[in-house]
Amino acid sequence: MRLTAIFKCIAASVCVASTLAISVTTNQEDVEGFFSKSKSGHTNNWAVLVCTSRFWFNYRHIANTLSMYRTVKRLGIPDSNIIMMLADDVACNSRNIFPATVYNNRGRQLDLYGENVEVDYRGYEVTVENFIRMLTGRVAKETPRSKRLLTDDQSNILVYMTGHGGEEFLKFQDAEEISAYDLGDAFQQMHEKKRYNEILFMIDTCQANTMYSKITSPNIIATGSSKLDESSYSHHDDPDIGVAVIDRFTYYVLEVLEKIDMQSKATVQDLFDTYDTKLLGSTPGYRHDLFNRPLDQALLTDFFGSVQNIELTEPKEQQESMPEDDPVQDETGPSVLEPELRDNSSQPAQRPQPQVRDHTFEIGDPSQSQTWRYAAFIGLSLALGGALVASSSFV
Amino acid sequence: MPADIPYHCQTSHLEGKLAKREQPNTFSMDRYRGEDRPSNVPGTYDFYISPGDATRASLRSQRQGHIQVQSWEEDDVVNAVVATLEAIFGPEERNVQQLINVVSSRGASKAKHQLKAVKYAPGYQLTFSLFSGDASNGVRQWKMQEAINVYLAPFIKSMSVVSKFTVESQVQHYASLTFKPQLDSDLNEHYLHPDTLPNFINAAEWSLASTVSSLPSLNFLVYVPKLSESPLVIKSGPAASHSSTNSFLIPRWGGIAILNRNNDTFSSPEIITIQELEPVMSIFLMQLRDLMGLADLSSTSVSSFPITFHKSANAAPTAWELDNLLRRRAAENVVDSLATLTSLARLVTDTPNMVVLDHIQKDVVDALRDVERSCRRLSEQGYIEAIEASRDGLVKSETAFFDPTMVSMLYFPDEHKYAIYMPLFVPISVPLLMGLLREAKKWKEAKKSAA
Repeated sequence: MRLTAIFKCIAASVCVASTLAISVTTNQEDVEGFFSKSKSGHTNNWAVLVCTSRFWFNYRHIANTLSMYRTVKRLGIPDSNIIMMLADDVACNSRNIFPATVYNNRGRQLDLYGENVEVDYRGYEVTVENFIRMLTGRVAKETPRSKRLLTDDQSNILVYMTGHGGEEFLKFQDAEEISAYDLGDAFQQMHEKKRYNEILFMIDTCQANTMYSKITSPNIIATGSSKLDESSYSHHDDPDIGVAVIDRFTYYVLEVLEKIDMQSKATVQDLFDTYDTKLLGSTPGYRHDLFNRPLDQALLTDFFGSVQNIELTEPKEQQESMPEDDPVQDETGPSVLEPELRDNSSQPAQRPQPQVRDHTFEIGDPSQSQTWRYAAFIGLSLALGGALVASSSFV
Repeated sequence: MPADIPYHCQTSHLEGKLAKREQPNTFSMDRYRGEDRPSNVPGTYDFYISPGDATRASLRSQRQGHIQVQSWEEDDVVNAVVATLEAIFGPEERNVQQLINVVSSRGASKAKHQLKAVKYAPGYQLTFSLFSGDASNGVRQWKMQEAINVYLAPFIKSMSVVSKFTVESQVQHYASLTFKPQLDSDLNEHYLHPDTLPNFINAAEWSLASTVSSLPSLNFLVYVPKLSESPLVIKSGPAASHSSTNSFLIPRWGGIAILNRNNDTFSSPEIITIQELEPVMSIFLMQLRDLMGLADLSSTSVSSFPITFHKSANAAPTAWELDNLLRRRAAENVVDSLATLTSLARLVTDTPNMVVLDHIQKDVVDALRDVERSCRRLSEQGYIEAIEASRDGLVKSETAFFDPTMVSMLYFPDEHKYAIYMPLFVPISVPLLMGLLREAKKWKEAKKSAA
C-alpha cells in the first residue's frame, strides 16, 4: 500500500511537472524598417568564412567554405582581407584517397585546395571564443595581423557560416555552440565601434534562419538555408571520396555567383529571387528589414567582390577630378519600408502565425511566465529525488 | 569641444608708411621681410593690409598674409579682412562642427574628402611598388630610394608633427593584369576605360599587403605595361582625350600611376632614373596629400575676390594647411575617443556580470584626462601638444575598449543553469536531507530515552 501510494505520488508529480513545462513558442516578431536615402559608401571589402564542423563525414562543409573562398578571391578580395576558419583539415585526412585536394563536385574538375589558399584559423583554433573575439576586435595582443579583422567604418563584410546547427544555435567542433544571441551581440558590438558599413550574413546549416532572428544592428542583410524545424540537405556525393561533397544551398548560390564577374551589376535581390524551395528541399529565407537600401540596389559585388570607387587624378591647375562610380553625391528616391522577416513561401505578405508546440522550451522568452517553469523544474527534481528515496527505502 | 577656435591675428595697419596712395602697386612684401619675422607658432598669423588697385589677398607659406583693399574706407577694409578670414577658416570650422554634430555618420553620408582620407593613426607605412608587366619592357630596377630622399623627405618631415611614416619599396616582375586593355588602332595606343579601373589591381597575384607591420598602410604603385600593351593610357573611348596624369587614386588605400617608357631614348633602359620618377612622385605627393586629409585650401575657400595660396617649393604642406590639419585631426581624435568611451560605458552597464579590471579603469581615466588636456591646448593655440594629447587619448580609449578581457559572457539563459544543475544536485541532496532528518530523529529519541 505504501509503495503504491508512493508511486502514485511520484507519477502525479511527474505529470504535473511535465505539463507545467510545456510552453508555447512565440511568433517571430515584426521588426521595424529603417528609412534612409543613401547608397553604399564602402571603400573596402572583407570576408569572414567559417566552417565549424570537424570529422571526415563533414567534408562538404569544408568544401562549402573553400568554394566561397575561391569565389570571393576571384571577384577581387585579397587574402589580407579574408579570414577563413576551417575546423578540420580534410585535404590531409588519412581517409582522403585524393590527398591534398578538396573537391566540391563529383566530376572533380576544380581542386579547391590546390594553390594559393590561406587558412587563418585552423583546427582547434576555430572556437566560439576566437570567433567572437575576432569579430569584436578583442583579440589577444600577440595575435598576428592575418588573424585580425581590421575593418573600419567603410568596410562591407561578408560573413558566411556553415556546419551543423539547430534552433538559434550553431555547433562548433562538436564541443560547443554559439547562440543567435551571441551573434547578435557581436554584431551590436561591431556597430557600436563602427567596424562595418554593411554586412551580408549567409548561413548554411539546419534551421539556419533562426540564427539571424536575434540580430538588431542596422545595415545587415541575412540569409539562411532553411527555416525552423527544417534540415538543409547536401547536394550530391562522390562515390570515390565516399562522402557528400557540397550542400544544396551553397551549390545553388555558387551557381549564381559563378556567372558574375567583377563588372557585374547583378543585385542581391537577383540572388534571392533564384531561391527555389523544391530544388533545395528546404525553405530558404532572408531578412533585410535592418538594411536601409532596397535590395535591388545592393550589388552582389558590394559584398562578394572588391570593387572600389576610384578617382582619377588630375593636375591641380585644371581643378578637374572625375570621380568614378562615386555614389556619395547621388541621392535615391524615397526608400522602401520592409517590415517583416520574409520566408520564401507562397504568400509574400504572409504574417507568421503563432504556433502551439508540444515539449519545446523557448529559451529566454520574456513573455512566458518564468515561475511556472521554475516550479516545474523543482517539482521534477524533487519527484526524482523522492523516487530515489522510495526505491532505496524499499530495497 | 573646440567648436569656436579662437585665432590670434595680428593686423598691422600700415597707414602711416603708405601715405602715398598714388603708388599703391609698388607695395611688396620684400620691404617687410626683415622687419617682421614670420610667425613659427601655429595659430598665430600675421596679416598685412595695404591699399591696392583691386581687392585681393595673398597668403604666403609661413603664416603671413597680405590683403590689398581697393578703397581705403574703414568699412571696406573690415569687410575685406572678414571675408578673407571667413574664406580661410570658415570651411574648416564648418567641417569640425559637422563632425561634432553627426555622431554616427555612415559611409554614404560623408563628404567625398572624408571618404578619401584615411583614419588618423600615429604612424603609417608607405609602400612604393614597381610592377612590371613582363620582361619585354626591359625594366629591371628603379631609383626609388633616391627619389624618396629627394622628393618625399620634405613632406614627411613637415608631417612628422601629425604622424610618423615608415617607407618601403619593392619591385615585382611579371605582374599581369586581370583583363586586356582595348586597342585604339588610329593612335596606336592601348587604353583603359575608367570603368575598368576598379579591377586594375590583381589582388590575387600581386603581393601588396604587409603581414609584418601593424601600421595602417598606403600603397603607391607604378605600373610599367608590357611592350605589347604600350603605350597604355586612361581614356573613356577612342575619341576621348586621355587623362593627363595617367593615374588614379583608391580611397583609403593609395594611388596608382601608369608609366609609359620609350626605350629608345634611354641609355640604360633597365633602370628607371630619378628624372623619370619626378613626375610620378609629384602625382604620388598629390595623392598622398588627399589621403592624409590635407585640405586643399585654394579650392575650398570661396570669396568674392581672388585669394591666392602660395605653395611651398617642395610640395611640403604649407603652414596654413598644416595648422588646418592639426586642428581637424585633433578634433576628430577627441570626438572618436569620446565615442569609444561612451560605447565602453554602455557595454559595461548593459552586461552586469562583466568584470572590469583595474588597468581598464586606469586607461579610461587617463584617456579622459588626455582629451581634456587636448581641448585646453586647442583653445590656447598649442596645436602640437593638442594633437599629441588627442593621439594619446585615442590610443588609450581604444586599448580600454578592445581589452581582451572584455568579451561579454556567452549567453546562458537561466533555464540552462537550472536544467543542468538541478537534476544533478537535488536528487543527491534529497537522500542526504532525509538521512540528516532520520539521524536527527534518532538522536532526539535517544536523548528522550536517555532522559
